[in-house]
Amino acid sequence: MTGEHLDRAAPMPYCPGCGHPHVLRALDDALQAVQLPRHAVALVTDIGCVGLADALFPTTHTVHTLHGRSAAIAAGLRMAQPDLKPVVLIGDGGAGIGLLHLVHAAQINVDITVLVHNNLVYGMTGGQHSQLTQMGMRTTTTPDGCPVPPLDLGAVLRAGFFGRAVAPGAELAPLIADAIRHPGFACVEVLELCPTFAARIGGVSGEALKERGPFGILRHDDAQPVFTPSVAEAEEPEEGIEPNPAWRRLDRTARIVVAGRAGERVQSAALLAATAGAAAGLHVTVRTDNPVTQGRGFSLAEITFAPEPVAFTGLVDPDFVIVTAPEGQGQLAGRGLPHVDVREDLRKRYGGRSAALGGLVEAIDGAGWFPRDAWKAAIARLPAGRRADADAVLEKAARA
Amino acid sequence: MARTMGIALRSGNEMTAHGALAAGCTFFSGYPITPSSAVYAEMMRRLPARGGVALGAPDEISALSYAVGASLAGARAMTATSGPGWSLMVETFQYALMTETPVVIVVVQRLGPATGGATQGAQGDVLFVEYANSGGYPVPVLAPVDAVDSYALTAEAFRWAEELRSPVVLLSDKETATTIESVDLAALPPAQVSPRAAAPDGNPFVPYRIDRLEEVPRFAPVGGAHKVTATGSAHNERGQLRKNDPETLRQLQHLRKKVEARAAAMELVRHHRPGRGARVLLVSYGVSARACRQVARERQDVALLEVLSLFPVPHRALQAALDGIERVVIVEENGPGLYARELRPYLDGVEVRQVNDVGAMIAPDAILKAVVA
Repeated sequence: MTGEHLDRAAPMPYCPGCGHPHVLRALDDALQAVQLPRHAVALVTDIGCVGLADALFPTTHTVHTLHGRSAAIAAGLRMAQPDLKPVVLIGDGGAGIGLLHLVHAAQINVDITVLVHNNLVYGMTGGQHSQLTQMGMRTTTTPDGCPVPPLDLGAVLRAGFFGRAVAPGAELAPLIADAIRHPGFACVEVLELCPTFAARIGGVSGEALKERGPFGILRHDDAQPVFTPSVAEAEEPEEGIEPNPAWRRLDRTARIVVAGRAGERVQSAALLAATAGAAAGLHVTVRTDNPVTQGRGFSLAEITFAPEPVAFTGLVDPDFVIVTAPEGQGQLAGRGLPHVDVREDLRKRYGGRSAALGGLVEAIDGAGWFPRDAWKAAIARLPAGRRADADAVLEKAARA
Repeated sequence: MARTMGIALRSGNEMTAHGALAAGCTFFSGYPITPSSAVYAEMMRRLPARGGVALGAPDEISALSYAVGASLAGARAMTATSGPGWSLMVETFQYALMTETPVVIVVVQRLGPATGGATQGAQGDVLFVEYANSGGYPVPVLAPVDAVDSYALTAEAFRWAEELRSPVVLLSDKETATTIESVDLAALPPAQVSPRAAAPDGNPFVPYRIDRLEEVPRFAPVGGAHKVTATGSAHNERGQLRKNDPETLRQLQHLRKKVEARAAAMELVRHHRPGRGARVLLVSYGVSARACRQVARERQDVALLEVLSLFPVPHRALQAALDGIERVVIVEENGPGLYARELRPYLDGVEVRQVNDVGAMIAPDAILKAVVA
């Protein structure tokens, strides 16, 4: 099922002298040359005059998108449908506003083809200059000539395939065909004229376009692997911990706050205590707080144990407030908690990185909420490399 | 997936990811943002092992655009973000709405406006997600209260998205999403998501064809045997760009009707009623509903309605819960009481109070004051 994609009998919706019809016919020629099954092609169009192309392709998938987003939508299509070749039709305006989408699609080398219809201006909105307008060119928004040089798309994208051509021109269809054949991200920048604005106001002629080379395939590099969904090993089955109701000694809601220094395992200590509580058949929540930095400042965990599902997870009359570093201490006042001294004894006994766990074990041991066996069951679930440290804390706490 | 057993310690974000996997999510694209990043990490860790596609995008616009593109090709797609990222997604979100493309967007609220407070919880995006489209078209929004909800409502969000062919927002918040909780894995509800109603083979395919306004058009994937015409511009049944002809305007009416017609079936609430004696009804959602649970648990005269489906507003369930109630207290963690504005039209004849705050979780004591004063 190949043959024509473009309805060549349909009237083109473009101004006389516009380059777009030439690009669309060249695209049709190219699609016929590469002989992809009809339904394996999707034309993904951007906003602007180029976005009127959908209606001209009556039997090919067409997806008309948002301004600049066409390449990202096309990439998503391709990632979910590996047999599909999306061809993006985008203008110079769309390439500007959606530049990051083009850059990322090229960077991950997703298998789509992008035709940038560069007619030097925003045509549909009245001839404003774009990021691809030639320096010095007059537009409705640069009456004294565009003061900045155009973006060098090829240099910015560093695509596996990048080509440039002029429309109309005999080189265009074969270049587009090569781009579509390229397995991976391919971009063709087509220089063409907006007759209404680039020609009439900008004074650019078709002949002048032909002097704005280089043309042809400007970059062709198959070295980078084409985007394929990463295939991971089958995940390990994740079993929960089996609670032992005989270990449950707590018959009310109990709360502990641990406040310390980021990087000193406050959160992992809280998680271990929570796991031990769950092993003892308790409902547990751990509410965490930290500043936006992950490795500096305070780290705070509020643990709630209860025989029934925990309702409010915040701090209401905590049974214990354990402060292992000044960073955590500073956080208490703002939370309506009493001033508590930093537990230098815990730091001395367990070291800074185990002070939080040591404090938790001592407090829970003392209160008798659940036995040592629950802690051991929790430690057994840690990665092998972390069990020895936790066991040592448990031992030390027994002697403390 | 084999049912797992035992008690796991999981955050709401992790449970959201697991709910998505249980619902058959096949595509995830993410961009890091506190406090939703754990959804991204968990999907990157687990989705590829199930044959799905998970990738990082260079911004939130790309993240949602990838997901929408994948969904147009038939994938069950999701992304996750917070308020600032949602701000960037609003354009592509409306594209999903207009093209009738299913996608689940997880929005984990934090303090705003702008970048606000990354690690400070809030419930300030409740109207921002619902009304972030031109024309006020209804967008289903679900809000979990705890870790199990995060799992179950994410799966429910997929069910609605696929059934309605619509974007659906799972609106979580920092505390609900990052608090780690003991979860009984064996008790998790099964996720039931049916495939989109597929266009039958053979017949000429009309992509937005509906016989009745409330009907959801049949789906054909881009890349399949049916020629698909998709567009985010105003369009007729064939997907052709039209501005204001009757068929196009009918398509716009349809976007509203397809949700409204199912609103009754979409109502999800949790009604705690201590007996017939309750005279005060707490109405809340998300993290604030947990504080309400504490109050309702301790007071025989207080009932609680946890609103899980924020939009469409479950006003039938609200009406039913008003039986015998003299005072309604609406509790939410934002300044003006944003969701209260949605509820008040249904609360004629009862006294309405609000408990609102920003910068901290609303505590049971503050709610109790509004109950007894």
